[in-house]
Amino acid sequence: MKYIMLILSFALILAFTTQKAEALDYNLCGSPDDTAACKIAYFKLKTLPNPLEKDKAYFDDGLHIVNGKLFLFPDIHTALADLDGDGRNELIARIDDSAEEGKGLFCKYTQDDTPLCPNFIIQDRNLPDAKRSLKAFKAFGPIYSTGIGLSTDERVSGFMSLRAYQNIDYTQYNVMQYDLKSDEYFNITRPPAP
Amino acid sequence: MKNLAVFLLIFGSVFTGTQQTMAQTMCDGGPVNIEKPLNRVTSNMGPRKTRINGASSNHKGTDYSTRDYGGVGTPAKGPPEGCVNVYGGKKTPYVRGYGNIAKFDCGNGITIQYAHLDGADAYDPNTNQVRTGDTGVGVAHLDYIIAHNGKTLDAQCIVGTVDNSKGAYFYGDSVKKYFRDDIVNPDLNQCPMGGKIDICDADNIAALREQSDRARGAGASSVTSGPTAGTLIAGTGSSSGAGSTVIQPYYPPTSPSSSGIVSRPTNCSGSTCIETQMIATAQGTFVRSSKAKSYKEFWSHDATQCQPPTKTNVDVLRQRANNDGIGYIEEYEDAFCLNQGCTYIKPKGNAKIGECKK
Repeated sequence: MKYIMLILSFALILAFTTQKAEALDYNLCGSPDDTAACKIAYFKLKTLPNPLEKDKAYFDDGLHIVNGKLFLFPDIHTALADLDGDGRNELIARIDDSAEEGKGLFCKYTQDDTPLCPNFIIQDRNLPDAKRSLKAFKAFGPIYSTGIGLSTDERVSGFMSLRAYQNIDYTQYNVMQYDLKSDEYFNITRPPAP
Repeated sequence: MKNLAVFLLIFGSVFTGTQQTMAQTMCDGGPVNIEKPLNRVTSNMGPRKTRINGASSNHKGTDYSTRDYGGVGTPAKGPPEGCVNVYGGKKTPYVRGYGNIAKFDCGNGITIQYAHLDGADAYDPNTNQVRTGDTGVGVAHLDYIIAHNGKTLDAQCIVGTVDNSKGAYFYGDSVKKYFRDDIVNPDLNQCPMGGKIDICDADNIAALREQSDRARGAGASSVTSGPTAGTLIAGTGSSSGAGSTVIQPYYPPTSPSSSGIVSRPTNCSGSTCIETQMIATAQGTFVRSSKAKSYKEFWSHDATQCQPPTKTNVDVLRQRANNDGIGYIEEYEDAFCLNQGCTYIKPKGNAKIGECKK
């Protein structure tokens, strides 16, 4: 069974390598007020736990937010793309370590010092005619990678598959696929638990 | 009765004194001259290339060399009077990457931060100096950040640092001989007001914030992530998917246009806001004031007051949100207050819009 899974995964990766991928075009946010995407990304991400900072939410690290007050805006990149084909954009947000001075706060580093930074897919699930709130935005992630690429013609359960690049020249990547049952993106080489 | 009067007098004095101390901020005494923490800059604020293909990241601070003075343990000038250590006393806690940091709240949304300090108590309130170190990432140096409501500003335009980083003669016994404090940093000419400025002037803050936007727009605003060959890469400002729009930040011109005086089109939140009309320029659409008489008035809105979002503001936010293709959310009102250095107080009862409070 183990070998079958391995072969299946390998075949899937090969299949995906023959398909085109679309790069994302990111904006670097300077403050929550830059764009709507910056606002949503900042306010949503600060409600999520940072796996690299035990028991702390993103940006609640004594550097960016101190006593609930924003003192230093983090490096957040945002891009928009319609991943589920419903005509409305999903927001792809990426948090970077702030150049050399903030190394390791958000990103993981490989042995050759390649930064794998957290990426999130944020989807608006607010109901029509209801009061809109961040709580109704679903955040998939963090997906640690050097960058996210979109599959242009591959949709599983309505969602576009993603490439989570693992090196700086984009030759190695994990394929992230949406799973309807768990309502999460998962790495197809490591399927979600049944 | 006499005792009561004495008690009230003493209590009153103490209370008033405490209040004054707590309320005193950096800008309460008028213009402020922030002194540079050290002399030699080795790295400026702004976008830098990273190892990520096609990407850059933002160096938020200004790096100062401490090696000229002996490296770890070198004292650097602390913040101006009226700034408060947000961690209390001499505390400088450790943050991964940044090492030990000192962070000062100077009021009016202005903060000053020192990173890579030498240990957890590297601020001396008595001498108002920080002890630089090599904690966090990198060799011994000082990382110095001035921010306004979370947005970093170019510290060199505020402290007027002489940037002689391209000089290469800084070590050994003859170090002092090579200090070049007399050099005029050409970069300071690029500052919004053409040189060192008073940070307590709201006009200057606004100008520096816009400069920060432009710097990111020129070098790091647009970052393409993903494969580079044989793939579809959307250009900046164009569509990158069904219905998607890349929103560019608003960049006003740095000087009055020859065709007239311009003013800010949005976020006109202070009492000094002026009536405007839209004009289109090569840099985008701006608003020309029908009342402004000088360039000074270009920045005449008061960004430091806490104005609650009004129905009109909310309508503007809604419109902008719809243009962004994502839609309006309640939290925009949080951001509206945050942008003025205030906290959003959620509405109670039937009230639809809350308040901003310091």
